[in-house]
Amino acid sequence: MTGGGAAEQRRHPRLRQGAVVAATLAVVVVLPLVVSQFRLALLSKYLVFAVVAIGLNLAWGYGGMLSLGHGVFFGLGAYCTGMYLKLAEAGSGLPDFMSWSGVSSLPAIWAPFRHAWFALPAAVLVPMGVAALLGASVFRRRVRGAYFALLTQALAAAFAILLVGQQGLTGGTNGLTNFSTVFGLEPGNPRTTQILFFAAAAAAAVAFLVVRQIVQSRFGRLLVAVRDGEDRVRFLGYDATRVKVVAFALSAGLAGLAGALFVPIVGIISPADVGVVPSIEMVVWVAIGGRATLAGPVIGALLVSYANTALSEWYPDGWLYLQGALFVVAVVWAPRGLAGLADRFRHLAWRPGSRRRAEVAVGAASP
Amino acid sequence: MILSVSGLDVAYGRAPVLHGIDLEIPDGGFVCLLGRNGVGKTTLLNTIMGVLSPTSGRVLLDGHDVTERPSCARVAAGMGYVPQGRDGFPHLTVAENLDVVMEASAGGDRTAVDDVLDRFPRLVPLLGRRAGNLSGGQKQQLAMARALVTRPRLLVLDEPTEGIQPSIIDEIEDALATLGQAGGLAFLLVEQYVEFALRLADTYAVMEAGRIVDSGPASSLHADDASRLLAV
Repeated sequence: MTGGGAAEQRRHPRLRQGAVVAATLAVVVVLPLVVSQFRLALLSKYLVFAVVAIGLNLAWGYGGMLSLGHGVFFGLGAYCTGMYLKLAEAGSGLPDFMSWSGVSSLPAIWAPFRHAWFALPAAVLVPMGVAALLGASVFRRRVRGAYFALLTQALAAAFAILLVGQQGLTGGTNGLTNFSTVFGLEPGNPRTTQILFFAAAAAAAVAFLVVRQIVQSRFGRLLVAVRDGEDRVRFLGYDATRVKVVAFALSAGLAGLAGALFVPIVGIISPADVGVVPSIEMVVWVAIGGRATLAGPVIGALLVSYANTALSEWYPDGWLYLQGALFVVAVVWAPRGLAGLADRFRHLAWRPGSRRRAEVAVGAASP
Repeated sequence: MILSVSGLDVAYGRAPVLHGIDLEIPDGGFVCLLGRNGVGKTTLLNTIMGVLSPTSGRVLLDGHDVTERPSCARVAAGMGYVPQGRDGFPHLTVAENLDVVMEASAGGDRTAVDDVLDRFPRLVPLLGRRAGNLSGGQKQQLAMARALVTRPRLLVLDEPTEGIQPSIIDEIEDALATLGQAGGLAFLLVEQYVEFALRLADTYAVMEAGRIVDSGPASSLHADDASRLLAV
């Protein structure tokens, strides 16, 4: 009976897709009614992480560019929003931390962030620009693989150090926090939490659909081709550098979008959220969920973040060890992550009339 | 002349590898480049294709200087390259391997793919299969097919018979011969399998220690002599 149901589902991919969309929508609508405000805010944070994972998967999973510095792009987006929120709170005065640090007039770089119409697009465009610039300069020189990973890792370290060092400009170690208003909404109000949850869910949905569209397009195939054989793509007449720069910049843009949402949801952005360790965590979400799959990174980000919260409440010091162990397990036994495992089980369940047999049949029918 | 290489010097860092290479391939010509391992054949091909930059000398394609042009521009100008090693895009299907090339290089012209599949009918039943799951011979045919989708006027091949079973080598030879007879396509072939190379080529060149030391009409070089020339 189950086998018949599965076959039915395969025959109607649209039906299955519709069911998944309906179920997801239902969950998003019902959750705010049934979970506490505290849990809802946590869920919003997980969804924001899912946006990062979706973007990172485009660069790493499909494009083969392992970035150990996506915290930088996440941070740029977050700081852009944080600056706006700080200025909205300060009115015509200076943000509180600047007065403490002895800054007497608003630094020029802060001035345009007074306007939401500047700050919010900047939260996506600044990370994209930085990624494009970085990509254009290193991909052209064929820096890739471990060297690229190390370079991005160093960038994350440098970015965090820079943020800590520029106390008067960035809020230093404390970062930007204590926002008294969130886009005209009152922080901590249940209604605000709900609105931010819907915003995070919408961002995750948009990111998912955009990346799915990209992956299924001509560009997506080309990106996979570049991942599998960059030089071969060059020998076939493509500018592989351009393909990589575009994918990397899009990936950074999604990280920036996530950062922009993270700030109002969590209420703080500090160097601890953007440096080396968070950047590696982002890679762990994708690895555990399953890179180069569409749903894997989303599931990875949600599950790993949830496990983080759950375990930290119960046994605070254990999380780092468990996360390290999960990563090792994923790399050694499930290189394609949870999505790969799910695939394997599905193939086992559907063995009669599997795709392989269909392929052979097609082969036999052709000349 | 479709390809004209003059005075090419190439170095890896400070270690010189190629010394004053001169090589000309007329339109529709077939040049095979012979030589032992490590004499610089692949380095020469990589320089011709724009992977490496020469320290001096020029590469002309159809009379235009392409020495400073990137690989992709050279391909767009009519060069096709089948590099050593056969791995293509293992996670794409055979059809996608060809389509991805067709979409850029042939401007989305599907007949470019159909023409190539006529030359390599063995690939037709495999179109839905992932390229990573093909046999060595099938992969080599796919690699050649990919390069041909760009509709090159010069096809550069680096040891296409390496590690391939004899019956497939015969097919590759047939395909290259038919392509040559169809006209409009010139070849630069690097090979260790001398008989194969000399059957196809009209001109040979022998490389030794980064220099071209001998060249002439392929008919004037007996395979036995060539093998002795290449013996370690």
